Amino acid sequence: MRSLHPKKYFFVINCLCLFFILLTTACDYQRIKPWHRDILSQDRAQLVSDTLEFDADEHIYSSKEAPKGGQGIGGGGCGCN
Amino acid sequence: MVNPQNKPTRSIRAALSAATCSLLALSTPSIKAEEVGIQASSTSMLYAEYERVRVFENIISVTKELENEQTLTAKFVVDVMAGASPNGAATIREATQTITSPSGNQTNIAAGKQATNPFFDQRMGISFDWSKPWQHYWTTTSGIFYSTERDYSASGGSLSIGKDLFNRHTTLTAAIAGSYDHVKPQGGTPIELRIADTGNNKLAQSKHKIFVDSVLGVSQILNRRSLLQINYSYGLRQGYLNDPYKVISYLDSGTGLPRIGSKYYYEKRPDSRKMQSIYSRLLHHLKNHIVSLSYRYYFDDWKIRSHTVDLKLTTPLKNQHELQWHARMHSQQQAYFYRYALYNGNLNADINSRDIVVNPATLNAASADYRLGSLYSYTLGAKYKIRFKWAEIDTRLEYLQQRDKNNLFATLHAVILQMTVKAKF
Repeated sequence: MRSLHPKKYFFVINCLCLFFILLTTACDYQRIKPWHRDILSQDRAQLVSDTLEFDADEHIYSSKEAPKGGQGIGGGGCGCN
Repeated sequence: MVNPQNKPTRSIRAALSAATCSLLALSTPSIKAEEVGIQASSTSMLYAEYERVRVFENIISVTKELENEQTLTAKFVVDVMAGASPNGAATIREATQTITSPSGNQTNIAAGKQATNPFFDQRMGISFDWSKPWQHYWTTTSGIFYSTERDYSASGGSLSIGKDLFNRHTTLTAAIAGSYDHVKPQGGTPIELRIADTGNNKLAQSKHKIFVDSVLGVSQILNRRSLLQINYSYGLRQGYLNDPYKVISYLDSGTGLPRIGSKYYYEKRPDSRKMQSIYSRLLHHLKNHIVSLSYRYYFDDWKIRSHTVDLKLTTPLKNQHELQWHARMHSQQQAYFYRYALYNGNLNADINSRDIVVNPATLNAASADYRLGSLYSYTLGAKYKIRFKWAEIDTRLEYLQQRDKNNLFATLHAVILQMTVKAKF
């Protein structure tokens, strides 16, 4: 992170701050009943809400950047240019 | 109750990812209450780089519910790729340079322009995934896939096991995937770190590599509005890991020009790679928005380190419409064997001493592929979704910029345009 340009560093710091704010909010841990899972049951609330978009992004970023995977197992390859 | 999002619907390149992601999504699937017989999805994506690569990708996915909440997913992928890809040669500002393409054609690259190889390829792939819930909240997802293109084929399989705990507040996942890839470079397989000036020094033999990936993950419902996911991934690559179309320039340290008779060498990468990453994602519902924020730290034994932050903000609109903003930032540190160019001659102030090489063939590894270098990537975009009773349609438009941290390569500008249609029967 030390090598980040100040503007990007600012962006990352903001995201991390947002993450911790959200996490703090979210960590109001509650054991919820099945009938209270209405919000998390929405399509848009799924961890992988759009598998085809996920596929496309994996294709792009795994062929344009050195790292692979992280969110799931990524086998197989391509002669990506 | 079956959630269509659970179904392992991965594309070829990421075919195996589907299994894990689907399982990881299981922490919420059990919550969903919609019955679906068949879900069919189709997406078309145009990825276009300015003056470089263009990819037109089409994916069709069909998921069928079977008895006892089992699902079977078939996916078909067709890609068309064309354009010009950087071949690794250093940009020469003072003179025109001549490069030899993989097919043996010679091309003049104007002074100050980045050297690229023109290419055209098509890829087709197919995958099948089968997901089955068992007693005591166990779920398995297994899959196989195969893809082929002119100079490359990949085949493999995956297995994921998920376990819901604590009244389905927690889901643990373990997954493993393997792939056997066959590489048959156009024009022959280059001999590593041999002179590439004329396109010779190639062997008429194919190569292969083996991929093994594994993930341990946990997803946790924190409260009525929040979901947390954490993954640890370990991957192993073994075999021919070179890019057969990449070269590295050999320059005279005094003039900065390519050496006559040995201007370029084929690259050489280590024949194994151990990759690890830690991924975390928080999904939180605000009053009128949904925030998804993820962070990945990646590291491997090629000494590549990276940080990736991804932020999505989804706003439900009237009439079941939806708008999603997306921002992504990626920063990576170069591989230990990455070099912009090799030099012959005396050391001077502009050259790193490790890049002065008397005989490049003696190096253990060297690559000038900019994707292994230190770079930033930024993505900004938006997606608009319309829902109907029986289907949903979304379109996204994103801009991607990739910039070399040392400003040695031209900045890459790309546009991603994707349209997806999903229907339930």
